[in-house]
Amino acid sequence: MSNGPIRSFLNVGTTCDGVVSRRAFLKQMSVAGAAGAAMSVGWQDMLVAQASELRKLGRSMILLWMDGGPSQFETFNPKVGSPNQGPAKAIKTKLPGVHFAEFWPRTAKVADRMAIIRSMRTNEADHFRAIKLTRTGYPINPTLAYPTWGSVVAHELEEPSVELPAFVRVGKPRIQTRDVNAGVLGPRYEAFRVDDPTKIPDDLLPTTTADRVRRRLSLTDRLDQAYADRGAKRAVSEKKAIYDRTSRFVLSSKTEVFDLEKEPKWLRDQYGHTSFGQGCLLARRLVESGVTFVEVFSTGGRNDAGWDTHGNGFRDTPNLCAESDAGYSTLLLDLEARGMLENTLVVWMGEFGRTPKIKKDGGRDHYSKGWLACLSGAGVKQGQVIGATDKDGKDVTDRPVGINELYGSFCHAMGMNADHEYVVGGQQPIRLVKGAQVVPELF
Amino acid sequence: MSIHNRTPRSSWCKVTFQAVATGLFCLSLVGGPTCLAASVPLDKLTGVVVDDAKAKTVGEWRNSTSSGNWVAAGYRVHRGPDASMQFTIKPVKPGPHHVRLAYSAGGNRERATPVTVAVAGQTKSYKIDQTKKPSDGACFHDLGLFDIPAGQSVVITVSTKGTSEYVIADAVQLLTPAELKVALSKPLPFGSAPKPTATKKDPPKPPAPPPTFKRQAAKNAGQSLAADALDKLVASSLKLESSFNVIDDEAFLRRVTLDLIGRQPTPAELDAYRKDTSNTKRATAIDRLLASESFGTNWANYWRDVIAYRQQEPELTFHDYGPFNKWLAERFNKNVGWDEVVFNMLTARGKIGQQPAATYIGFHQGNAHRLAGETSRIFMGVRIACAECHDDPFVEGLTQERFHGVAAFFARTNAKIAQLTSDNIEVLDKGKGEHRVPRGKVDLKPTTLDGQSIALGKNDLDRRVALASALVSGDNRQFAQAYVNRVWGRLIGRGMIEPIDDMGPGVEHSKVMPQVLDALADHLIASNFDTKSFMRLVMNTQVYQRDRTRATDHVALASPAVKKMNGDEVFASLVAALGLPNVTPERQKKTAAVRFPPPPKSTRDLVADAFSFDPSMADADVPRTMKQAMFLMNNPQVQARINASPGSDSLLARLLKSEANDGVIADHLYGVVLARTPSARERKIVQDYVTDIDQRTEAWEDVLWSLINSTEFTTRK
Repeated sequence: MSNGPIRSFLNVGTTCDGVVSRRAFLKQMSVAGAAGAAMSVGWQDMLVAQASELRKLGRSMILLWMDGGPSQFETFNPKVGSPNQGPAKAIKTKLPGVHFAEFWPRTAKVADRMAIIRSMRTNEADHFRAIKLTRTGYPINPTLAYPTWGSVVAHELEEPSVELPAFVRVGKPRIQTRDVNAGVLGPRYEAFRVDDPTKIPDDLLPTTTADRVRRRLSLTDRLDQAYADRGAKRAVSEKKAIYDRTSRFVLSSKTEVFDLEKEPKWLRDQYGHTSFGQGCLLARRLVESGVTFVEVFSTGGRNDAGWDTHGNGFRDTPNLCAESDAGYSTLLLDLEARGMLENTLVVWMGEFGRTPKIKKDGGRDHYSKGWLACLSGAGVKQGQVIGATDKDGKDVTDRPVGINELYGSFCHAMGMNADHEYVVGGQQPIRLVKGAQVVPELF
Repeated sequence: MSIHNRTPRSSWCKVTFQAVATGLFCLSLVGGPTCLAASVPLDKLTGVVVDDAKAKTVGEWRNSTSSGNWVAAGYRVHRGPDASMQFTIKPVKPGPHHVRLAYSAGGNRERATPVTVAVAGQTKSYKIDQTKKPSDGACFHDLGLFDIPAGQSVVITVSTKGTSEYVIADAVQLLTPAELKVALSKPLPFGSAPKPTATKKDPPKPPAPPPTFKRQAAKNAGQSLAADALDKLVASSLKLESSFNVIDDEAFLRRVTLDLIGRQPTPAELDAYRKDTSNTKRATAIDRLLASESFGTNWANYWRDVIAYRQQEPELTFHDYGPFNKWLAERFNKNVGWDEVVFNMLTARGKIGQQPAATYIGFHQGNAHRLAGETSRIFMGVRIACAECHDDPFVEGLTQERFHGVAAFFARTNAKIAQLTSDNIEVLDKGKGEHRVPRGKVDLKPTTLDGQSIALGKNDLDRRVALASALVSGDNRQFAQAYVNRVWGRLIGRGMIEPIDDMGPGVEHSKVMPQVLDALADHLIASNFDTKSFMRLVMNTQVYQRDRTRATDHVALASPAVKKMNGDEVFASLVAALGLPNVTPERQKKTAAVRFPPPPKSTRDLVADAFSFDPSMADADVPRTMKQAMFLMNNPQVQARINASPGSDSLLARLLKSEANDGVIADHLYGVVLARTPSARERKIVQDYVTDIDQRTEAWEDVLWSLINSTEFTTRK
């Protein structure tokens, strides 16, 4: 694979966890530091330099998260004629010979904007473990909290001149404890959360005029200065930095991005009046305003089972598919119409798929041996199917794709070096993706 | 079904730690305990009754029907030291009457609620413990017999002055002795039959008794230390010669109050302290705060954060540290030795709800690897987690086998994870099994880091008792040193060894003051791990009382740093400064569609979410976040308390109404927000600002907003 614009010189040996021992890292650093000194830049400058190189690509990512694990059969890999298919019929798509389940009429029409991987294969079929794996790129590790991918991307690609946070989450996971946060990257890279895309987020807007807030801030500065002079210089400057950033955000005209009323009614209708649909619209607006990573949760809005359709699958799946079909297809077209798709990686996936075997009431259990992920934009070769499962949807028969390859491909599309290591608390370098590979068909 | 409301055997069903509306009153019934929560209508009560709806209130009292029994439409709740409620009640005929006060008790209530009864020119004062049930066991608390002269009323005042927990006021009742006798002989006249909300089929098994702790005398028992000796030792370690400024009285009181009881001093406390002219006033203040109940709560919160920040919640269970916090706070208040506290945590068994000490093992899900890593890190200041997967090539002798030797002590520890309620997580013995290095073929003997091992085949409890005994022993100096370094780190703002939980062995670190660390560890061991004695010692030193305004780097090691306050401290400060109410939304019900509703977030939770941090981080690494800034700048609840427009009942609105002098207003605001007097420079900044803005109310709102958003408000100097 290509390693992005600059290959990191921090590439030292990692352990099974992708963690370089701090001692080795520091040793490496002192060598690099000596080299850096010769060029009169420190290693931290080098890291900064590299990050800004990456930012020049201006890539963003939207992760559409089908929370609970969507079925392959009722979405983008129907098995017509197999006893495992159930009542859902297949329909033709824009791609000759490629069929989707009947619940996806609008997405079928934009199948030529998608690269559909039908051969995802992982080892985790338990929600908690699978969510950790598929949202961080690393298997669950009780002693090391790997950050969710949005935090990693924000950490790598954050553009300081943008008033908005680099990482925004839209909607909520269906079950609060089955979640992943910024982990070792800490609150600085936590997602800015928009639980309900149709409402302005809590504590965002000042309760008084912008002028008055500025007046208040300048009074605070004067009082803070008096405190700084009494021995609190560092505390004051730290606080001032975050208040500067926050006031740039909350007083910015860009907070209008959260107001979906600004969009024409017909477009809002197209996206669908669901939390997910309006969330997709918000995601587009956010990326348009310079946000680097947005994740949008799809849960169907009716219960906390979401896509986890063990029971009553045939009842719940059409509802789930309908919300996702409208939001997903409209997002792709909308991004394309605005010329944004080429710089925005859109990924549709969940933590795994569902079993070929159908339960009595139409439910399916968890399945990690042949599931789906769809990618669009950001240089991805669209209008193709990658990999396949057998006629009954049981086993991958062609081109199995693992998480390391999926995440390697994310990095490639985003212009990030998957082998790059980030440093936490000055001591624990963690590689963006362990054993990264790119799925070559994608690019 | 008969309800015995006078002598309930079991008391509380479940009271979570942050005013969560689940405290349901439990009454004992034939066939098992049942939880009841019910209203008593006014017209069914005998004697004379005045409900909270008719009382005169100061401050914001929220109505609630979350727990226990109540008169009429609910009871009133207030948290924060600035409210009161006054009932005026007149008997039908003069003569002796019992004055009774109704409140719904609960674990999160105030233990010393000030109540006064005034009649015929006499006033009697009480401190009511509202965590305990009222005297009739269900609703009414008897304040005693009063002779009421003809034509006179009784005035009963429930105040929140000096309180920090929830204060409840519901109703007052006058009963003649004869009426009281009748009332006590009958069940409370509930409006409708109380609905049982939970019924258990089997009475709970009595929990396994925890093993008793026996302190062994240390082989090399050290000496205890006095504050001046400690100062000398610090000075000689750092080769300090010059003298230093001691921090002024106000700053000292804020520092010591925050550090010991987790909030800033109230204006009244500040005033009393200013008036104390004795030259031992600082020592007296330290002793007063050490004796406060909030001391235990504050330090329990600290250790909860130390443990919780590295834990990952198990799937489908929301960790509730309420019972653990309460247990730990009690231990600290009773001054149980730190060695015993840790021994209890490591050896507890049973359900967390019944055995809160088992929280440490239970919330780590009994996982041997995590317990080995975290126990070493938290209680010994040694990070060995790297060796879980491989020999640590950079720490001499820290082999993978040594890590797993420690893990082997937990080889048979099992934690049964319960869904939703963490109280039901149960710590058990697996009954079999040994520990191996992953993919290893040899059973490892449980072996401590310093090589003490026990035989294979031991049961879970024997293993954990062996580990805990070796760990907390006075001969294991690292245990004492880890405590010293941590608490020193919290009080001074920087550990003698940083990172605070990475003290070696084999780790290169700058040992700044090794003699001081040793002497303090000696003191701790010699005092039988008396934590109050340790804090008293440190806080009485010049080091702790120093002003570091113009400190050089060198001196900075021996004077308290400015550090960020944690979520609990910020919330307490918001309550003190603004009377911010703690609003808890209703708990979402578990239904077929929503099977795992998250617990509701109270105002306190929101503040904790934004401001809390992992206390093992150095202050410089604790991030300031946009969430914090947005909360203080824009949160509507905070803004409503800053609002002083006519019609608002905020403290500021009242102040502006009663006071015309700008200087007095500025002094008052500095007192409640920052617990000090403004400097001349600050007075001028404020005065200039107020003069500059023509609209008086707006100007003072701006000043208050700016003080709340100042760096000082969320830091401890």
